[in-house]
Amino acid sequence: MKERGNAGAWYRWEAWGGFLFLAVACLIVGLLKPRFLSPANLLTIAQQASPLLIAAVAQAFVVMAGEIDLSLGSAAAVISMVAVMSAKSLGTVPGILMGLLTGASLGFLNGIVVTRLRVPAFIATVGMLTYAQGIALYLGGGVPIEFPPPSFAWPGQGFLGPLPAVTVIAAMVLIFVHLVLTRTVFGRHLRATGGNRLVALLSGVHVQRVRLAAFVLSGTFTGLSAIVLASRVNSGQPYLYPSLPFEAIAALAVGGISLRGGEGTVRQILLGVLIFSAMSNALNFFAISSYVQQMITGAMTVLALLFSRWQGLPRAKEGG
Amino acid sequence: MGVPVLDMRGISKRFPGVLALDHVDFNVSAGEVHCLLGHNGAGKSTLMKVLSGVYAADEGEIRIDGKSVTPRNPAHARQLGIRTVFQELSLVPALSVAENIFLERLPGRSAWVDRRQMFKAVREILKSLDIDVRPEEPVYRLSLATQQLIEIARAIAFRARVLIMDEPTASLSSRETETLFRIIRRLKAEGVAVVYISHRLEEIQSIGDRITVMRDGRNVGTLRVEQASTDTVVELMLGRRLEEQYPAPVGRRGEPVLSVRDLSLAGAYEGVSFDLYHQEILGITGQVGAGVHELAHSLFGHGPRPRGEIRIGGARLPHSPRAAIRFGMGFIPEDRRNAGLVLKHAIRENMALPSLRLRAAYGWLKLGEERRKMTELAQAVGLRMTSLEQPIGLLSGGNQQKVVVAKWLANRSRILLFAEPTRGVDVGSRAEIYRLIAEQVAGGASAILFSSDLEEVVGMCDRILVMRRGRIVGELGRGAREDQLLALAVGRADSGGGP
Repeated sequence: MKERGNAGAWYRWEAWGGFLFLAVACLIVGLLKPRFLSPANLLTIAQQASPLLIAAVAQAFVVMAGEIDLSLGSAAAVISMVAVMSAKSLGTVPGILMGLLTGASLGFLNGIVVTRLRVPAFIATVGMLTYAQGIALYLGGGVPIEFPPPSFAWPGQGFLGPLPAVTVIAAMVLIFVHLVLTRTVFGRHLRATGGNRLVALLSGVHVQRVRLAAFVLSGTFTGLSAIVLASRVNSGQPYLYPSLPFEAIAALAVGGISLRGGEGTVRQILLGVLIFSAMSNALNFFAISSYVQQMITGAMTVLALLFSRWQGLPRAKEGG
Repeated sequence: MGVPVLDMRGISKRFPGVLALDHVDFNVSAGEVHCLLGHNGAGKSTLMKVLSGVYAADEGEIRIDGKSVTPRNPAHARQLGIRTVFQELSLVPALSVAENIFLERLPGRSAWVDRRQMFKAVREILKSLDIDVRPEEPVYRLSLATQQLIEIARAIAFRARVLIMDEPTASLSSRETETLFRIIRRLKAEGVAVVYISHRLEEIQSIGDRITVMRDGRNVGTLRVEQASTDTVVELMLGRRLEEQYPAPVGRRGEPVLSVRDLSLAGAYEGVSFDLYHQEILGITGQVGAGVHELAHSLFGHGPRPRGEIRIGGARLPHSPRAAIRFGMGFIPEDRRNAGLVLKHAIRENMALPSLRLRAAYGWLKLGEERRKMTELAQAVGLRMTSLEQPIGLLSGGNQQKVVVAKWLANRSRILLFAEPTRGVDVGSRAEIYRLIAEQVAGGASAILFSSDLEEVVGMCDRILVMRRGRIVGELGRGAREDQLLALAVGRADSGGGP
């Protein structure tokens, strides 16, 4: 970490350049619409970004392992239904635990299908997307489950001092995941498995177990994301957030994480999600309709990918 | 003799740290079969890749029928009439024989394929080549040997001026080889120029017209087959390389640490038994296809489970890389870039991977200790780098290999399996890697060198096992000569070497 030449400077630019870009963009918006940079609005952005942030973390675990999870959306729906149902009969805390457990189980199922039955993750999780959607509809007979206990609203709507509870939860998730990725044997094994599965295997990594664990973790964090979303709308919804997996993947790509696996930091996840949330908030200030916002979001996802590829060109070539 | 069909002059190609081709001249006349020989890394395949448009030459000229050409990419080379039959099959398994043959130029107007015309044409091609297969048959149902013949049919279905065949008989039986030779003779009669790469000297004698031997990126001799006795060819292939410093032998030999008994893997090797002794450097060598690399992977618990048994210190070794590592093994694979290193990760992360648990408590890493230990190791193996945090893909081949070795030193491995440890490594780093191996053995480890580089095997090993077609066919001690090894490895009838 000490000796750093020009190459070191470049690494730092790679790490923080995106945030600089985000800050400049926000500043420009702030000059045009001063209320954009008001503390109240910044807190709103943070609050709105938080569920997506947790879902992006869920997606990041599988992406780093070299896989993908497209089932997040309907998995979140099932989880919200189960959590609200359990909260109604058993209380808020057991409800939340049941939600997390459901998420972990769905992730485990994905993981087993991918690692043991060797179904490519893309197919396996698309199957799960439909399957879980069916469960979500079945559980409520096609309608939302409403009226959980009042305390259930806290994770999504409550405050801790001046900060939204959901933001505090998301921040804790980020710190925890950062530590797991950088400081644990598992984090290294995950990166190695996604970076090159054969190398990982020949270096003594239990590759199958790591991939399975990535799916279970993905499911668990999807569970957390679904719980705060359900808490925000105070109900279990069979169509809670259908675009969740795609927004999560787009956020990772915008943050600069290679979807080929083996790479990615919490900083990049945060950057990608903040860019998305800040942008959609800013577009509201300019009174741009949500339909047009969607078009912009889609275009930006592709552009961000092109940009990161252009940036990474000299290295990509060397890697063969 | 008229103008040669193919004339390559002064071809040079440089890769980072290696001069892969050094002003190579090579030509083939119409109706000639010109055989190309040389060890792995001698430059044969690089030369052919330049010809077939995979690499661009840094210097030199290529003429086809007297006209100067520059193959820009493989498709362009094919347009120029340069066709290659690859060693690894490049057929699409799910498509039919006919579709594979016509893949790049399906007949018919517009986007629709004229299947009737295609099947008819293919039936004629197959008939003329004496290949007994229906054009409608999907390729995955065919035997490997038949697939190889289809591959050849594809290469000559369109008019070829130059046909490159890379070890075409590697998976053929002797009857199929005869079919292949008949095809080659017919092509000769049609005036095609054939480049034939092979290790099998008998084959070259029966099909070739001229022989060119390559060594260290240079053409070291072109001669007519009649003049090329086995001895002459062997001498040219071995030559005298740049003098390399091999470390002095450790010369001790203790108890067996690794015992292999009657190990067999279908299609790879058969009935392999040997012992590795404490502080011994054992060499295992053989030509391409002899089963040497497959054996290395099996010992490390990778790939299909072999029959037979492997024991370390009396205990039976379970079949998995994790078990092998737990028993103190380390593996430096032959394909460093795909099996040895995660190229996009930093040097430190690669080096620390197998030994993470040594520096962890309850799954949490001690990063300070890791940084200290890896810095120490980088110095010990003589790594040249700007920072441990550099992505490893940017290092030279030699430095990358040092990192792969350091991975296992960090894990204190006692049995080191080196597969082609100096392939793609420049001469300077080569000597350093030899020194590393010797140091480890002097320090109490044992090593096996799975290598097709005979000079290296002779220079480094206390004992050498030679494999041919999956079996151990000879054992030699220190002082063995390269020509003895080569004779055993290629199976010359009058081989005098070996007990």
